[in-house]
Amino acid sequence: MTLEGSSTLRQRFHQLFYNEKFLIGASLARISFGFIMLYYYLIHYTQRYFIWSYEGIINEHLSDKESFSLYNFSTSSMYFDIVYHVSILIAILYLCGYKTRITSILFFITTYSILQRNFLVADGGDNLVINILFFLMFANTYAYFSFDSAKWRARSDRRNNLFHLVLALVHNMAIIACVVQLCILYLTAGFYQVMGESWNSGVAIYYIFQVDEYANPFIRDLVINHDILIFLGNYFSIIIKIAFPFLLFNRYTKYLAVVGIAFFHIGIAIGMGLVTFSLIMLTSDLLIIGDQDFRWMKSKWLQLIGFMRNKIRRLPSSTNS
Amino acid sequence: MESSNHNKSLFYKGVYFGLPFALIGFILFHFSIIILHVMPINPISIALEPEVNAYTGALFRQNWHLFSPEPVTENDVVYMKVKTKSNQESDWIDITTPFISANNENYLSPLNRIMRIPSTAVNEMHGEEELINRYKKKIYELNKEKESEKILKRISEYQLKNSKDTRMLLYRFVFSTAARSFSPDDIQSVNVRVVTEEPVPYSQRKNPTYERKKTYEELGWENFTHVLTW
Repeated sequence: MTLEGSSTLRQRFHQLFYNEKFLIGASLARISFGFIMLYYYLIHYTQRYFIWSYEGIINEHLSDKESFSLYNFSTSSMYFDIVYHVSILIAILYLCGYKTRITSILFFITTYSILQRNFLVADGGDNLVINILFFLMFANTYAYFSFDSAKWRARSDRRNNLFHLVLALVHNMAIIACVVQLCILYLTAGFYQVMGESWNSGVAIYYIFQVDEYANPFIRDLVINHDILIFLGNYFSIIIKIAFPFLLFNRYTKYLAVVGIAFFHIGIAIGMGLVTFSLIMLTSDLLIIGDQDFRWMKSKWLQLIGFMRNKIRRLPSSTNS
Repeated sequence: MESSNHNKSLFYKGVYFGLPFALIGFILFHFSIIILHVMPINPISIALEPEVNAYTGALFRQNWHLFSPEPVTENDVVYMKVKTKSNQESDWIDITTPFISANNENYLSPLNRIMRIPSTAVNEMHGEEELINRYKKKIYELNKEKESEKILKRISEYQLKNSKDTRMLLYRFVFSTAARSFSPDDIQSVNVRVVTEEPVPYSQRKNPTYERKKTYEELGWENFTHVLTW
């Protein structure tokens, strides 16, 4: 290999592993996860003792003592309130990206603790939050839209020292781990669907919509009486999940995966009322979108805004004339 | 950067070139275990079940069944009957439907999650039976009786405890709900009935006279204990 070739190879190696990628998606995911957990704490604020304290539904005898939760250390209501309110504060700090390296660890611990405390109100989204937040502790989620972002940019001159290179590498690997986790989720869910008789015969959605707990009555009436909608929804949900990991390999089919899965989750949020579940899934999908894609979307958005402004500006003059 | 790399120490070069591959190795190892943990039961996952479970623990535990292989199709409606200290019994009161109606009016409410408590408890009470049956079928297919004996024993033990605990959780939810309609000091005991409503089969979807089959399960009277109301 020539000297030039070796240098190019080294540059590529550096580019591949040590240039932080997916920074905008990670920052947006931080904001969104922070918001979801803040919503989770606040929407259940008046029911918090019933759902999570030892005086509520899960008393000391019925609590899962084997798994870790900050709420398991004491049965006192005062201790519960302290942990709950500190968790709210941490969610706000995480959302804002303040001292994010430390806050992300605390956010993971508090989120894990509350979600472990009561399995009766949990869903698959909570499971994914734990998996993704674990890896996001190692990622740079503060490069954009955070209190820490200015500091991070100011340090750009030191980015070639070993410590910062390792941080960049760990960030990239953490994002890869999140994406692999998502792929395993979709592939496994698709696999199980293929195994199921009602999914195979294209009628699973018809049956799900008969369960009152998961059926938006307005959507149910629309779906249940239309065989084509049942058929399309059924097979689309299988195909998009199984195809998801493979669509990510190509830059253009990746968009198809992201848009397809986004439609799928929006459908679940509206049709089945699983709001936080869908938000968590959509948030995790942000980690698939690269920085260049976000910049492209931003430029297109600005173009659209500019175009609309021009149209609106012209409107009064044309009507006056 | 590139020219200065030549003069870097061995430690620097070791980390710079070695760490990416070490981390890739870890990711491959981690997700291989996760795949064994979440994918359908197969000979390797049965053989490595204790090791896989030890690795995943509570931290990496995950389940992506998400309405599959077979989705939930039945409606479990929980009813309560309250006996007061003056020995008067109420009628059966449906406690599931009001939750669902309230949730349908507004998904952005605490009831969106609280609504799941009775149905999850009922499913957990019965759900493990299905798991055992699935395991037995797979074990038969894979001819792995020896490896699976221990797993089945563990599942049976877990099922017994889980069923007892989730029954108690269901009662505690009902106690809490009863205390909203009756004076808690006046309640002596509560009985719970679960009505399971089967779906209208796809072939009968256009038959307006089709009646859903219902099965009733009465869980019996339990002495009232005070639980905070929701």
